Amino acid sequence: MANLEAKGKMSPWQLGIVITSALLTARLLPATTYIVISSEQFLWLSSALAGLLFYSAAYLIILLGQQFPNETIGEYLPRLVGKKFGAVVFLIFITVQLINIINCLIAITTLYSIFLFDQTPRAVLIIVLLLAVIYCTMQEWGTILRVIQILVLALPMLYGFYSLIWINFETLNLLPLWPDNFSGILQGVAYHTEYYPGYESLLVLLPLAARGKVSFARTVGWGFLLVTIMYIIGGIVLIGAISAKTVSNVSYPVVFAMKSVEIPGTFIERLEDHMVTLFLPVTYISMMLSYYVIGEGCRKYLNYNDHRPFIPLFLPLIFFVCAFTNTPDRLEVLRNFSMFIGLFFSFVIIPLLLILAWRKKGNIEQC
Amino acid sequence: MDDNKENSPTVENIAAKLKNFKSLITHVRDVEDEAEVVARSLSEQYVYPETYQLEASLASNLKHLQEILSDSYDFHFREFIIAALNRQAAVVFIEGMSNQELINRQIIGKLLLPSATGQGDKPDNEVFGYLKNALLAVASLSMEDVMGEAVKRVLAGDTLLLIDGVTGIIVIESRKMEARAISEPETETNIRGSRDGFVESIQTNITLLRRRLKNPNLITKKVTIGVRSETDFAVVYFRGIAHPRLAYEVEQRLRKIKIDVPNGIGVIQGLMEDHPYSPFPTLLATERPDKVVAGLVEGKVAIMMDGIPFILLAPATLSDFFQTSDDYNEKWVVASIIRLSRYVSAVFAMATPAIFVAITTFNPGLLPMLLTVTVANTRLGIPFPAFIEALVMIILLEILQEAGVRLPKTIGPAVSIVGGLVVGEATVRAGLVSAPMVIVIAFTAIASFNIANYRLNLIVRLFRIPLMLLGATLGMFGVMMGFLVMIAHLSMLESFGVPYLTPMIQKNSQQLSDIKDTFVVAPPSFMDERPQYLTPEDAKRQEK
Repeated sequence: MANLEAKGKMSPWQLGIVITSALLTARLLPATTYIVISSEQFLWLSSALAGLLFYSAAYLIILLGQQFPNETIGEYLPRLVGKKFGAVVFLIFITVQLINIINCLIAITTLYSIFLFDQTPRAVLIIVLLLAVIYCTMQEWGTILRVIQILVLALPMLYGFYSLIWINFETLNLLPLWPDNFSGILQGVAYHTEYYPGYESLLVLLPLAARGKVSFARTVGWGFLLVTIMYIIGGIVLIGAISAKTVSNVSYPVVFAMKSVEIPGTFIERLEDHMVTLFLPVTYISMMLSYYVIGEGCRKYLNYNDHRPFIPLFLPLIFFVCAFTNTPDRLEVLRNFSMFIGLFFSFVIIPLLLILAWRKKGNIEQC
Repeated sequence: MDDNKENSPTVENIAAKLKNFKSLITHVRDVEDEAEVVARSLSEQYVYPETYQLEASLASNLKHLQEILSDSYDFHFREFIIAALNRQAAVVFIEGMSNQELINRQIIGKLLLPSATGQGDKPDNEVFGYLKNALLAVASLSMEDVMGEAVKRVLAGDTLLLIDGVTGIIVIESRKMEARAISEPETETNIRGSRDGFVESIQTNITLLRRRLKNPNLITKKVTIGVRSETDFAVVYFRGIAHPRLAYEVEQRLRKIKIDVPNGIGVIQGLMEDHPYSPFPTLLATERPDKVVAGLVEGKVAIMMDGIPFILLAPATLSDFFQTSDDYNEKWVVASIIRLSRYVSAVFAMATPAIFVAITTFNPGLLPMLLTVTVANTRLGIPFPAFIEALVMIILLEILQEAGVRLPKTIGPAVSIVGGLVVGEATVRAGLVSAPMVIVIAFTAIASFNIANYRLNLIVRLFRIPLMLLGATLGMFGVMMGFLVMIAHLSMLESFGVPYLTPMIQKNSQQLSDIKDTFVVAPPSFMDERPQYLTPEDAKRQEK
């Protein structure tokens, strides 16, 4: 068949869009409470620092990718750290992606169950959403990219809805302006793994992006900057609207803040329900991307022709973990584990791999 | 004893024997019929004209033609002597497909005239040249050396001239078929655009294009499809604008089709499309010449079929199905609003019943309190769940719509009135369906009428019920899931390598300019470039 388009490739700007759209998910909704418990009214500062920190992690991944252009993590790991260690690192990478999908699934289905008064069992919602994700992930990269480009339009709509919280903004809630609990703010930064998930996908996506005049670091950086600004403004407006004390006492503070929004003289009511529905396409992007990255990563690692066989493989595992994590205690364990493994992968494994790559390249050049 | 009893001429025995005799007669008749069928099947074997050899003898060639065309009553031949050559000849033609006046006056009439110079017979190899230069007063004629080709030509309406002693058949172009006059397209009416539409004749359709594009670079390539029907197709494109690879691909895909008889353009479309199993059409069928011309000068390729007044344009993207000729005849602001309304209508036509079912069944919280109470009040006493209510109303609507299409134009509106007003009113009064549901379904129907393309309208109608089912089982979550899967499906589709959602979704920043004719219609001065996604050879359309 003739094809006038180059399939399976994206421009650096498209890579930026993909990573940006993967960052914002429904995971941030429950996480806000934990962050505010630590950071109090300085949620915005915590988010700003986290943005910087997680972008540095993404930058390290881009640097690592530059050492191995046209190769995914699964391809160069055995050469870099040996077969056994390579397998372990690759497994951790897959686990990070799987946990992102699981967390997203739990967050969005719980959100629907609670706020849309849905009587459907959560397990049914999980399986339906998973099947929809799988349908999309089974396609080639060009299709997935187009889906992301459409669904990313939900992001400004969502933010537009969220911006209505400004109506209830009170400056007093933000006082004092100068932070005195720096350790709390830093602790809040760690919880931001829920705010900035999915950038690890770069380890597989970089070879799919065409190298042009614009560097990946720049396009991904713009994405991080945009999302960080959204989080900073969002943090300020959230604390300003319902105060840090209220945020730390409710499970879904963003939705709670939205509940209190009333636009007098208009027909519109219960905006939080509409906002909740918009979280679905936004979260879908992140899940779809992570799932594709798992399939594509496995394909490259095991030298398969197609990523599709790996997609249904993980379905039972994801479903089981999601269905099993149905109590607050289990959710707490999962949240801590995902935070730990995310930070460990980004700030221990990736730097180590980069140092190793530099050393090996240095040796080769010396030879 | 028993034998005697059986042979004795009792009434029962005689009746039984008569019955046997009748049965025998019936069997004999059956055998006779069967024998007739066998005899006919032996005499009416499938004919392969290419297996017949042309001979120098007129009698043999005529006999072969009679065998090939056997009992067809519209097959005619007329034997005569060419006076100037003093040779036996015959013309062969199909009645109703050939211009008989031309045959009488310019062929037979001229050949019966004696030579003015008084010349006698010519050598066999000079006969064709002599007839062409001196006798036959026709514009186009050729010599065929193969029987198969000659038969194809006569079946297309041309006249065969067979001359004794000449191993070949002279084919004279004399096609004249009865055709429907050019009229306004019924499925794509407009207000300020041209009123002519394509007809069943491929030649007339090409003429309609040539009248608008008087340029030698408008290329029409003939392709014959149909092992038994030999149906003419034409691939039309604008050289220097259409991407050569696209034109080549369209032609190749068309040539690869090995079908018995292409019954319609839909069959060809199904065999050519990138995704034949998808409900979404990836080739745009139109009966408007202005639309095809616009497509050709954008860099698209048209596929014409003889006998069908619809022409396919390739590639087709989803946004093409929302465009009409009138969009470019109105002021751009007005046209933009109208086009946007079509997109909104498509979404409403597809999703309104599903959203209503989801909200009333699962998520009443999505509605304002007052509205929720109003809807709930109207649903009091309705025996069916919202899904069944909606399903019944949609089935009723579909029946009415289909009846409106199939019925004569004079009865169609009456059915709509009876169905829409009387049945709708009666169901609400009887307490079977709630009034809001009737409003929703009526709104859905009106919204679907706003969709410019009939095929897209059908797709929108098709997706209503699955979406409703999702809404009834999973609420708004289900409806959203339905939309997500649909977006994924639409993203997967391609038309001749062009993503179906182009130019809504761009590949790069160069394609950004294509958005000017997608959701809105940009002012004419902005339309200076052809769509980039078609990778035209000449991207510039007008000087600013």
